[in-house]
Amino acid sequence: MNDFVVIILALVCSVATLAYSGLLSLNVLKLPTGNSKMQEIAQAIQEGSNAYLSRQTKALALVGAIIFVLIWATLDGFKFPFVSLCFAVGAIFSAIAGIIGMNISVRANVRTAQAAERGLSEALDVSFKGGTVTGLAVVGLGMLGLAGFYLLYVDLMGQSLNQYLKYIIGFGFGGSLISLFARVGGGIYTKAADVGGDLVGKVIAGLPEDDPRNPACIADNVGDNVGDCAGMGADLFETYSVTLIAAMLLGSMAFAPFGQENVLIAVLYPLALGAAAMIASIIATWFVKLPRGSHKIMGAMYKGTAVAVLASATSFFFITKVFFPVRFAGIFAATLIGLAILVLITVITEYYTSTKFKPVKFVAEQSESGAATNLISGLAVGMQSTLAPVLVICTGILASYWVVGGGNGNHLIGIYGIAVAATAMLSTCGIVVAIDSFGPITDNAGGIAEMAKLPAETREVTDALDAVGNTTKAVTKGYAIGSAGLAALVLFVSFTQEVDLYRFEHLHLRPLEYLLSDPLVLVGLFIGGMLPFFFSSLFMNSVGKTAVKVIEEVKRQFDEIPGIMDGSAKPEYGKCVDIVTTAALKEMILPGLLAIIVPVLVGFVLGPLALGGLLVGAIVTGLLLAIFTTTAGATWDNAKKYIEMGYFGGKGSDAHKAAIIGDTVGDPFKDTAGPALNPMIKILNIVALLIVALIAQGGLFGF
Amino acid sequence: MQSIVLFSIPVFGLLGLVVMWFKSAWVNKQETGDDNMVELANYIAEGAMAFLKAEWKVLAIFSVFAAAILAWSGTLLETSSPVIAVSFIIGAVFSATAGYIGMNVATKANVRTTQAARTSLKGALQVAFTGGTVMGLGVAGLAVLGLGSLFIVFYYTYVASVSGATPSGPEMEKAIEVLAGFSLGAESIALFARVGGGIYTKAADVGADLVGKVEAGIPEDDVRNPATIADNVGDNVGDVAGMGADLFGSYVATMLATMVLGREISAVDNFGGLAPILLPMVIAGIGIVFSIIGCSLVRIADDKGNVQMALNIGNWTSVILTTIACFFLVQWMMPAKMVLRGHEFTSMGVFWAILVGSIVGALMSIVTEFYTAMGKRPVTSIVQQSDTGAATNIIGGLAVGMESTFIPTLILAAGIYMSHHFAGLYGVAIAAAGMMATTAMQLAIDAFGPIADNAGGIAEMSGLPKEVRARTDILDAVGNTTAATGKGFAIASAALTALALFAAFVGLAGIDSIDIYKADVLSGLFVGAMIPFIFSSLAIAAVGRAAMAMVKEVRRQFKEIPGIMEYKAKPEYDKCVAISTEASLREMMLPGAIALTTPIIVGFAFGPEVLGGLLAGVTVSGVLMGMFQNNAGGAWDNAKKSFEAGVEINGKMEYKGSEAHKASVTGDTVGDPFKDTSGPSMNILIKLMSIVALIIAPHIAIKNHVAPHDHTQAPIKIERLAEQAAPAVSEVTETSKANL
Repeated sequence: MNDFVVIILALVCSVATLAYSGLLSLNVLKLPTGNSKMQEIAQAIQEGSNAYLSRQTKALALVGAIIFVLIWATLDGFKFPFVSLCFAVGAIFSAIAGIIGMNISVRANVRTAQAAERGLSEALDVSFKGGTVTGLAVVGLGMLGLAGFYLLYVDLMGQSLNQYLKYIIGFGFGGSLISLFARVGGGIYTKAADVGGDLVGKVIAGLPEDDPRNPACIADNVGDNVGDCAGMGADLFETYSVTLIAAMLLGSMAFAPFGQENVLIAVLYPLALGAAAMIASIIATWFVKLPRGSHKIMGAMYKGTAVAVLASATSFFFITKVFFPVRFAGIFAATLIGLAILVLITVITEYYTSTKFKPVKFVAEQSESGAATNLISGLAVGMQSTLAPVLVICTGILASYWVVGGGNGNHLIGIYGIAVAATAMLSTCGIVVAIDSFGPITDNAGGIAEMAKLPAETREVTDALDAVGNTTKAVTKGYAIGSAGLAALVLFVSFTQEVDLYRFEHLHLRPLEYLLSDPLVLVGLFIGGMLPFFFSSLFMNSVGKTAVKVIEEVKRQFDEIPGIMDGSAKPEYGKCVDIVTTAALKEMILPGLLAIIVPVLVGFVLGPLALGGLLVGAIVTGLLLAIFTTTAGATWDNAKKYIEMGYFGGKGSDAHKAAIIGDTVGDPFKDTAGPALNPMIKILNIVALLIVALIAQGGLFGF
Repeated sequence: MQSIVLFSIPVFGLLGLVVMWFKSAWVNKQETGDDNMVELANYIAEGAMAFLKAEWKVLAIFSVFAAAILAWSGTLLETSSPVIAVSFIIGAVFSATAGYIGMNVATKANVRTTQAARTSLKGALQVAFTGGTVMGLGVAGLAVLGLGSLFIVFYYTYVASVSGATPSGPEMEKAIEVLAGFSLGAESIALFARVGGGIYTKAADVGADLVGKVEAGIPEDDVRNPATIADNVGDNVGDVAGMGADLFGSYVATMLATMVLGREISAVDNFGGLAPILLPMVIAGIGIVFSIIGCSLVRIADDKGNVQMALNIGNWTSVILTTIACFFLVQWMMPAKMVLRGHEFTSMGVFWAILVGSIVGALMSIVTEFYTAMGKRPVTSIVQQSDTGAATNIIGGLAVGMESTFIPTLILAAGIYMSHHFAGLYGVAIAAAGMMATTAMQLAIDAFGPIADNAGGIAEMSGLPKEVRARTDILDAVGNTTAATGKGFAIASAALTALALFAAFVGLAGIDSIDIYKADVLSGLFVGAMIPFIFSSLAIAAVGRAAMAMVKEVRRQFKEIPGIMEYKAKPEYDKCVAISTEASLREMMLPGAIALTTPIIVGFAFGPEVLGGLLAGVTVSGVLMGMFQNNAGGAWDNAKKSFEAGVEINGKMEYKGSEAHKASVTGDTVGDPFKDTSGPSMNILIKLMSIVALIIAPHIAIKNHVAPHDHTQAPIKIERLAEQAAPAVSEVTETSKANL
């Protein structure tokens, strides 16, 4: 296998994808931006978003610089910054992925609003193009980093493959770190503004959503961009890169007994899958089109996904033929299992969150007897929704383990099968992110349409797109957390391998056993299991506290600035934007640092066995809590939308009021706590991998 | 020596039951008040009885069915016997009886407490607490009597009659396997009683609150509310009968887990090697004695007396005396040195483990109280967030609940590590047994709350003067705190017990290692962790659905029966009672079935290792979900209660009836199924699944296994490993891991 050819091809694919993404954004920018009122509002949203992002970037640059030095000192020993350079680039790329996503979104929103005047299919076209820019940027950057460092370290600087794999973990760490901060900060921002704005606007003063008289409405729309676009972009960048890294790392371990040539194949294979699927994603985006007069938006999305899955599967067939002539059937089957998980998670999530099915209708019906029963049923649906995804993921784990021939004596090969399934699932990231990020763009477009007092038909068009956006957002979260479950598992196994290898090579000790009857493992399991709960509580609290501040500020403005209500005076939007910006930046620091400190602390005090238990505990409850919170949130949201469609009394009824409360509770669930668990789980794993050499000999209290 | 100790165990149980009988007779002798009160009390007693009878019918069918399967499975193995079905039935009947005793005395004590409250707080406390004591002693007495007697019977049938049988031989394994049926019976009835009772009480409560308080604007326990009788019945079937069966099950399971592990200890002592097996039962026996002493100390001098302080004095007296007694017991009974699965420990180590258990229990109670008590930071934060509406109140409560898992988990983790450090896996089990020793006292404190709550209800409904209600409210408020701390205590003991049962399962199934590194074990872990979510979801949704039906019924009655609001017409209480009864019996089936069948299916389909992964997953996520739901619910409840005395929000005093108060009522309602239906079910769930696994362990055991040896002691392992030549690199990465 000529690694140089594969790497160059991967680089070409990623550069081509980025170039296509760039072209597409130029294409979007050329579209008309509507009247001056619309432009003015869009300008305000843009400024707010930029202001937040530049402050976030500055804060993160500082954190990143400190960690850069720490890594350079401990892991690189102040020599050539192999690991720390990877870390820096990973962090920067992750930030760029977010920045690109946000920048295109704040420009596509007003253009979508303008296009919505002409019809549904035009509006979908603009917003989906905007989403595609983000989606392709995410995968293009990920591949560019991974393949680029391979070219630099292995081909140009002559480092060995194993060294490259050790260094590249730093790339994943950088990406995860930034994405955790971006997810948490953005999530707190968007939901504090949303909850605050809603409570004042809808409940207290009786204003419709996105009313320009509501001082928090600009902050709310800014939030859609910094949370759902910038945060999500960084998150998926991290998910994508870390999964590929995990697969490559495990490939090198699993195929070590079969010689260097096989190791190289196993390491390059995930990159090849990713590169091919990138092209498949580009092709798939051409199929997301709505014929004039059609209203099947979700159908168009499904068509795009189907094309991506089929095109990827076809390319995987040939790639696997070339890479694994002997193990072809098993490995190819594993990729298909990965794609199947993607499809199943999509279908399950749609079932639980779409207005068409029983769960949403059940929650809507329960709203008739008040907010309490709406909340109880939403919580119940959220908890119940963990069943099918967990069974799908477990079946996926067992099946992909088994098809590649995992079992006694072949354990690591089996885990490689799981890694391949995760890679295949995530390789379609481009199209999934495109489908996801069109949502906040239309949401924003709707806001602009409302604030600029565009005709009602325009708002209808954006609302139709927005409802689909709610479901696709939930799908992406399910997709990210499902793949995180698989990837984190692979990372955990890599961690145990690294510990054993280190113990053997440097300490001449036999492998550790992570037995459930070992009190240290159990202690780790409990602590790890608790972390997602604790983190969620931090996130929820931040949103709650900040929302209260927003409400107070809005109340103050209504009291002190006469004429807001009759439209004669302009509210001070900037104050609200400022409150949430400051709060979000302040509140994101603690959870972010905890995610790094906890594994280090447990590793040094209790040793690798407890740390292994911690990783598994965090994966398990993290996955469950993430599914629970994101589904419950989306269900509440769409139950409200369902009532607004005219059921159970329709808009303005008591049931509707109850459903609004459910929706508000669901906001921090689905957009702050749930999505932030995904990067959190992976940070724990990556930090554990990075500190292996320091803790392999045991902690203060044991092993 | 051996037989004296052996036969003294059921005597302790009998002693508890005799004292219970006297206390119960005393309660019966108290005045019942005027006709109106008696009539209301009769409604409640009848409704509760009707529910219990309906529940028993369902459970009887289940028990016969389950017993038949157990009897059949008992014939398949040498180390088991069809007799296991008999001990299962006895366990089920005892558990149901424990629930019945509690409910019977509670429905008598409630109205008598109301009557006593007409004159003094002192008298009211005495009646209510004596009612609680009857229940506590009934549960503990029955458990010790049942387990102790059955053990004697099985010991003499299977072990003593066989020459050459040893405490660690297969004969004893058989005796304890058959005895495990008792625990299975107790725990499965407990699960159904807890879930069924929990759904009943909260459906009625939520339904009554939503229409009565929120829509019609009438106070709680108003006689005009058609759901009010169902609500008060619910307190009895859920908080009393359900909790009685629950603690009966926990108590038995804890002793059994310790006995199973005790059997594996190879030691020479003065009790024919039985000491480690007998110790948990003896500790429970003396725990009854000290509980009786502790209960007698609970009293106040006059109306200004501090009720909480009185309860604390009684509680701490019994706990401290029991711990001191444990020290001497351990010294007297246990051999100086013992070995369990390669872990060597001393008799002092066993005592330290018991002490660790007591400390963990106390700390958990304190932390739980912090998170749910009025005036402390968590509840205050929810109160503050109520100002901006129900949504922020809910967000605040959920955040508090999730946060409240942090410190308890660390305490628990430290407890596991320490108790294991002192006495190996036996230490983990005996720590739980030490915690549970004063169950009679704990339960007396727990059960007095719902009695006082009911007494308050009767006072309100029969229109007694305000000061009567004020007195019962004092008792009720204390009852809320004890209920919350009791839950913290229960979940900690459940976690330790489940781990002990898990360790026992590993031994019986012949798997000397469950490595989470394996893909299938990890899948088991995922599925196991999911079960508490599904279980909670079913329980919560059931409450939601039943409450909805209740709301509709109450609205219908208000509309169709003219004159209810003017006290001219009587509401149809029985219709609401029927809704709750039917809903709870119907909805308890599926969650119960999931808990019972999942371990069986997974065990037989995927083998003992995956089942082990499943159990670990259930335990970890069950403990977390339990704490999250209990504490969130408790915090919401007290956030609402805070408004009754008035709270300051943003410099403004807010009282009952304000917008913020209304928001907090919504939070309380959401918290109801959390804290009284799904939350408390978690500790039964994790233990029940472990017991089921333990029972089927011999059936799915890996054949031809070597005796389980130690995998738990890292230092020993590392020395052992260091002596062996290190394998080649490729083996490290490939085969040696894979062969584990």
